[in-house]
Amino acid sequence: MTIALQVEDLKAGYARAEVLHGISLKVEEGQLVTLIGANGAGKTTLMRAISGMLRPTAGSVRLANREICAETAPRIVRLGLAHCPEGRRVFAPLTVEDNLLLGAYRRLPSIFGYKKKASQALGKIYELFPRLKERHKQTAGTLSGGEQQMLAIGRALMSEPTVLLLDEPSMGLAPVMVDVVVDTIRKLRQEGITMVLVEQFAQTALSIADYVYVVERGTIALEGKPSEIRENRAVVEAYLGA
Amino acid sequence: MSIIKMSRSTASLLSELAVLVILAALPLFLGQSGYGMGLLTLLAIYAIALIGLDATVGYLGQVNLGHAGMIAAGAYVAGLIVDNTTIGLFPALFAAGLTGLTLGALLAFPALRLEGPQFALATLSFGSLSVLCLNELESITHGAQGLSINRPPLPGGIPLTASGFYWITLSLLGLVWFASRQLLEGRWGLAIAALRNSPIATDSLGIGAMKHKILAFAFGSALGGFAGGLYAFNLGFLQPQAFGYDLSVTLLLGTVLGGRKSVWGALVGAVLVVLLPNLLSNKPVFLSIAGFGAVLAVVHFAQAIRQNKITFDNVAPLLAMSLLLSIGYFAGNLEEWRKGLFALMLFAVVVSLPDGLVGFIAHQLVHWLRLASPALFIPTPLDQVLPVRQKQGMAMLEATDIRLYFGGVKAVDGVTLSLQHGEVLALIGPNGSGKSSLINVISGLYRPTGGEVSLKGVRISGKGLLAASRQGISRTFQNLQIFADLTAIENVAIAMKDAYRLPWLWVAAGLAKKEDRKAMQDAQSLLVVVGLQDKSNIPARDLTYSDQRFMEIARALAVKPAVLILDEPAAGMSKPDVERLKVIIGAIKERGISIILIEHHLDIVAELADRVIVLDGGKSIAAGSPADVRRDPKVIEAYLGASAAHLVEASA
Amino acid sequence: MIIAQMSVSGAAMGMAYALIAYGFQLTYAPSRSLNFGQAEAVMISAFVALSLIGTGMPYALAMFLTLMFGAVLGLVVERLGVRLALQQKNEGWILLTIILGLFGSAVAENLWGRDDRPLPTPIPGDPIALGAISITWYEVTIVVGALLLMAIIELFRRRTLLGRAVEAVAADPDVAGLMGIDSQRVVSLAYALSGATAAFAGILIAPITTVGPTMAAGLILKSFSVAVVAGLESGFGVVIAGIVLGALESLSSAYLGSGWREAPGIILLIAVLALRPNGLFGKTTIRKV
Repeated sequence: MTIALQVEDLKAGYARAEVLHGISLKVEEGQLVTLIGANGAGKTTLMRAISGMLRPTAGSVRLANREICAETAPRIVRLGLAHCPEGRRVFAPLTVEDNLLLGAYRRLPSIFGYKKKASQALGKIYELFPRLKERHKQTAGTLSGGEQQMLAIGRALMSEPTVLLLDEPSMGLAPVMVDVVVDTIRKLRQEGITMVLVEQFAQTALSIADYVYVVERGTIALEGKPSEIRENRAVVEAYLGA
Repeated sequence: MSIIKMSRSTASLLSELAVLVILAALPLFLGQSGYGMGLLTLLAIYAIALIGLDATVGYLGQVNLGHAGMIAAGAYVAGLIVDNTTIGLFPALFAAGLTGLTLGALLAFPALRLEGPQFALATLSFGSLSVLCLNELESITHGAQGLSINRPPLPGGIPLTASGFYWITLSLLGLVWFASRQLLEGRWGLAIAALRNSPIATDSLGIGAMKHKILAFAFGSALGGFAGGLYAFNLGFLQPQAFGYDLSVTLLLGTVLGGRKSVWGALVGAVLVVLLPNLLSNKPVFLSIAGFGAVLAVVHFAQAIRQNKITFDNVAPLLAMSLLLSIGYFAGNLEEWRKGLFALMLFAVVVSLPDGLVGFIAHQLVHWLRLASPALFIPTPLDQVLPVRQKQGMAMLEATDIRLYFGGVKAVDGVTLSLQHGEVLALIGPNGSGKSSLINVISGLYRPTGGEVSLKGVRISGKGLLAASRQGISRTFQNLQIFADLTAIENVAIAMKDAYRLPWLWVAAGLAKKEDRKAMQDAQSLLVVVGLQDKSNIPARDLTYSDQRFMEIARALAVKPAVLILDEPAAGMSKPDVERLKVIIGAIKERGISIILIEHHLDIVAELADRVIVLDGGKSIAAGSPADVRRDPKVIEAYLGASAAHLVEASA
Repeated sequence: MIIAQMSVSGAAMGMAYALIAYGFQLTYAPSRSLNFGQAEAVMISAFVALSLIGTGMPYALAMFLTLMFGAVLGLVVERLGVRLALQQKNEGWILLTIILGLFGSAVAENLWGRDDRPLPTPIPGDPIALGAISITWYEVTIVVGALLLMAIIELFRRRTLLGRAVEAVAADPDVAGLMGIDSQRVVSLAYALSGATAAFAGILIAPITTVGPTMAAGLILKSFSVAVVAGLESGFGVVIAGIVLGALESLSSAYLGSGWREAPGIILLIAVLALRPNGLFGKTTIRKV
């Protein structure tokens, strides 16, 4: 198996506060890896540090054997890593279609003919999320929470990434929508997309993952296959403090 | 190795006196020629104006392009009064200051709601409006033709010479200097800096910073008007166009060049603004000054090369200085280039010395002379600062059927809770379950869609942060809201309830030192509670993350709350710090303060909470002792997702 | 009839304010900053146009080169005056752009002198009579030119992916970065476009104001006023605000005296800032805690 993403001893934080105290993890090609852990454990910070939204202070991040640790976010997208951020963060004043097209910004011509070139990728996203096709002319801010989440995932997929980071796609969604999102993630996994998923519902995370990391206070407390994690009391402790 | 054993405040007081004495003695050496005296007087006047401008530019941190308008208003009021009545010099000056104060207060209400470019534009248009009015109200001001003013004699008819007027101006500068130090470097300055760092925290601590903001702007404008009055009597002739955009910009740049948040900066800025045009007529002197600046820039750049950190802020000053030197060398008439040379110097200073010349020099002096930093305050006994609250019969806090809807989203959907005296109540629940929204309602940040919150029987919901804080609710924030520019002890002292009672005139007259000291000692006592007593003089921004959280707790205690809300206090803390936090929460509980604790780590909750309420989807799904709640299947489902109950059974 | 005449010629000048105000909006949306030295950019560009025409090159080529010069000037302002402050997330850009403007005006005074000079133009100076109202060709060019340039830039913003990227940076610069959009470059682009609009405004108004160091000093406060009244983030509101302000100005100068010409702009600016800081056409934003 080739390794799609490898993080080694990564440290990062904000101003005076180091949040990640040296995190290492490994994602093989085609794998779905989930990160679980309490709030404030550093999962989102880890995602941000990998995708270049936050500059790490030490350590290494390798995307398909290429060091990307010191790169900026736009460079990292170009190298094939997409990050669907926590809280969806769609471009509210822009239309659904514009949001999606911007997802493919790095590989489209920026002045003329970009729509034509994007039509195939766009079609694939609309196939995955028919709701978005119905609403392609609406501004993204008028969508419901679940639709915004679909848009955010679709937008990240538009860049045709080799690795996709998904940060809490189920946050704040109604249970029905959570199911839709989880189904989508399953579908993407079948298509062979390498993914790192942050998920607050541990049970959900365990049920779809190939491999799980438990993050606690900025370090990896535990890792293993879902079946191994299930057996481990430490997970329950991390969540319920038993 | 301390060469001079002297505290920073003593050192600055001595040097201030020295400068005033030297300035006062200048006429004796330089002769009392009209031109020289006029220039020196102008220098003192500009210093007063710049101290006033510094109130907005330095302390409020806003770009003020309307100060010339205040000066114009003061100048015309003083001039017209003296020309048309028999009122003397001092009442006319007083009226000039009062004009500035009034205009400043009027302008403050709309302008201070604005920030950044909008504030700059509002003040810019005020400046233009005043020039326009002065030009057009010809029947009073004589418009563009100008207004001649005869300098009135002193009381008793004693004629006022040029040097006499200079000495008067200088004494007034001394007074203004003293008063603004008292006001702006004391509690006002702290409150305003706090407001800049976090408006939410200032309100939730009951500091009432808007009042300080308006006062600071009005005070600065009053000094502008006052300086205007002096200007009128110094020059004896007023024309509206002298007070246009150019003067505002010149003053603004003088403040920035000299150094913000500093009376010394105002003086240095005034010297530069007044002397620069005269300096330009002497090419060799100008070239040597420019050369000195260029050498500094080269040194700065060389250091950057050595550290391999070549960035814009060390390349740009070098370019600006080289340009300055070459224009100085090649230009035929330097005065033609006055604006350009001024701009280049300013550019270099703004980019490389954000604290201005004085800030830079002061920093170096403190470093070289190793001036002692202030001693730690002796803490007041804790029982005096935070007396143990006696038990009362009724519930401390009662929240009934709280609902908070954002459009269609029901963030909180009918939660009821009550909090007893000295009780620790934990709120837990997954992300987005409504915990933060609920405490934002309780602390007064949000007005609930429905329901009511009352504290000791008094309704507080829907009345805002400030009201809730006055009633005795205090909180910390999940995303830290520290006053980064203040030291740890200042963070706490500025929030101290009932500490600052004296009116501002007393403060300006320097009669409030005792009150200030008391607040600091009380604050030190609260820092002892959270274990930061040795770090009290460290700027909050330089504290570690955990210490910043502890400082926020001490600051919340300064409000002397009945109910303390701690929003995820352990987030991001290391294990030892979490242990320290537990001890602190225990100590607070012992003072009879009720605590609402939002926390994700259930081990902390288990150890500290008397009762737990579990929220999910905006509703309370379980309540009871920590042990009960942990076994509740609904809670397990909410945290782990459906059908996870076997996990807990397996581990139990 | 006089009222109509005054309004029409005022409105023409109002279009020039609108064009400069539009330039403020261009940079404000993606960067929350604008060039406080824009008056100097207008003036220097007009001088450049004057010098270029003076070399005897074709008028159209001179205009094109002036627009390019304006764009480059915008880039210089962004690099020297804005970028550092935006990186440090402070408002130093207000001071720095004022300082750059100051330097620019010193350079212009020394290179081109302090006198006002006419800008040679192929546009005829004689008025056209439309019923009882007469307009000059200069006024027509201002209106048509300003609308044309705004329409072109607006098409670019709405119809190209790069234009959409500018909007994305305005909405959320961090996430725009995740799309592979370099926010820094987008801001530079916005400053270049803004500089070009300033240059174009200089060319358009020069036949009326003549070219001199203070030609745009009075103009700029009114452009600020138009931008704020329309809302620093809203698009075509500037056209309406510009026309209304221009007309109000002519009327107040006719009825209150020429000295009061500037008053409506200033009063409007203060009133809107006090009552609706987001502008009449701007949306109010909800601040998140």
